[in-house]
Formats: sequence, structure tokens, C-alpha cells
Amino acid sequence: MRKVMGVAVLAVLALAVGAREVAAQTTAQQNVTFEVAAINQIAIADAGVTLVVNSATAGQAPAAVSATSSYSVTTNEVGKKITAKLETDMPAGLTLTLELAAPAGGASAGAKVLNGSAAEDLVTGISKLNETGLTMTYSLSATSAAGVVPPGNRVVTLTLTDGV
Amino acid sequence: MRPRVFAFLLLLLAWTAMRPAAAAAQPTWIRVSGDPAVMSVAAAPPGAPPAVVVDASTTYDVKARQNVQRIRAWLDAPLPAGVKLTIELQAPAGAVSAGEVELTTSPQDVVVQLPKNVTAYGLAITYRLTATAGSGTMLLTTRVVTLEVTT
Repeated sequence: MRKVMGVAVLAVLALAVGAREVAAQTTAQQNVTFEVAAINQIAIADAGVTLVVNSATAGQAPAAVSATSSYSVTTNEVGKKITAKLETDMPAGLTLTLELAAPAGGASAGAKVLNGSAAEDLVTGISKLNETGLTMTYSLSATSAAGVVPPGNRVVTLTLTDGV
Repeated sequence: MRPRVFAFLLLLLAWTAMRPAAAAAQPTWIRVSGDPAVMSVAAAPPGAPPAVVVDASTTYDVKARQNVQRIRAWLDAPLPAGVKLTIELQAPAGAVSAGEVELTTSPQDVVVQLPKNVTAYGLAITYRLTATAGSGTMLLTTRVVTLEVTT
């Protein structure tokens, strides 16, 4: 009998405790946990540009030609720069330069000669921004000594990386 | 069956049987299914702000009786500059969702016009987290979101 009473008491206690747990809760809470990771993205709008050197003023070197494209950049970090590099050097006597317009707060290094051996800093001081339609200006020049160069292409790689 | 085993089983039975009955007897309550998953802003199209992160993994249940007209939501602390957290609650039948509401430390209506004696289960809770590029990076941070059924 004592055991049966014990069971009954336990059952009543369970009901009491349970009832307290589900007592009217007019509020409920959730923990929302979040983070913002480092984001660094850069892209060029056009698949490519074409530059043809085909004229000159008599007595002078062939006239340089230029073409424009645009790029977009997003970073939520500070102290970034954009570098540019060719996959291989230009043919002898040909020079390809690239100038990037800087996003707000950044600084353009102006037109820089591109090569296949070392990345050139084109924009520095990029921090926490996202911008589109930033102008890229290519310029191709050739010496008379370069002669006639058959059509070729070079891949230009822009890299958003650490550095000021 | 041994008395102690019998007592334990009876206790368990009482516990499980009591909960829905006790809950149903309460005039007004709200409860959530748990916490949403960690929301990580980690991507952006080039040139665009970081992409919005959405979590719709949790739900809520609500029961309201007379004079209960709305559900409000608020944060325990402000969010870092440039970070925005919104909440959207699916409304019970007959009620109206306020849609996507930006959470602040001040209570804001997220569901209104709750009908009398409404009871609903498994209603969707959707969080959206956005950050600007200017907000920079941020380590894991937690905020407590409180939902309240009130008049």
C-alpha cells in the first residue's frame, strides 16, 4: 500500500512540475547566431578587347591604340589592392598597358606596362566597398622594329589581394 | 512487475499524457521549435553587396484567446553597424503577417489581427541576414529574439 501511495505521489508531482513547465508562456525566445566572413570578389565585364595597331604618322612609330572595358569589385576587408599580370610576355616590340579607375577611397597607379613575369599593382588602398562599372583602359603600342605581328592574344589576370 | 519499475512507467505516462492537455488548457501561449542554424554571410557577386542569408528552419506554435491581438518581436541588443536581421512570421489562419520586419531592440508587430481562440502549429519563421561591405567581417555573434503574444 505504501508503494502504491508512493507512486501516486510521484504521479501528482509529475503533473505539477509538468504543468508548471507548460504554464502560459506568452513569450518565446530564439538564439540567432550569425557571422560575416571575409568576402573578396573581382570580375571583368567583357570577355575580351581587341587592339589593332595599323597606322602611323610618316616618320613616327606606329600609333598606339586603346580600348576600354570595366570591372567590378567587392570586399569587406581593409588594405586590399588589385594587381594585373599576363600569362606570357608580349612579343618583342609590343607594349600592352592597363590603367584601372580606382573605386572610392582607392588610388590608381595609372597606366602600367603588363608582363608575364611579375604582377603589377594597379589600384591600392581598397577597403570595405562594392562598386561596378569601373573603367579599364588598355593601350597597345608597337615599334617599327616589331614588324608585322600576326594576331595573338594574352590573358590578363586581375587579382584582389592583400596589400596597400 | 516490480513496484519501482511500475512507478517509473506510471510517472512517464503521466508526464507525457499531461503535457498536451495542460498546454491546451492555457489561455495564451507561444513556443518555438528551436534555434535557427548559424547564419553566415560569406559570398557576394563582384561589385554587389554581400548576399542575403536566409534561414527558414524553425517554426512556432501559438494559441490565443480573447483580447489577444498580435505577436511582437524584438532583439536583446542592437546589431553591429551595417548588419540587418529581419524576421517574417507566417500568420495563423485569419491573422495577418506584417511581412519582413527589421528587428530592433524595440518590440514590433510581426503578426496582427489574431482571431479569438486561434490555435496553430508549425508556422514558419523566416530570418534574413544582410550585411554591407562597409560592415566588414564579424565573428560569430548571438542575439536573442523574443516573440510575444500580446494585446
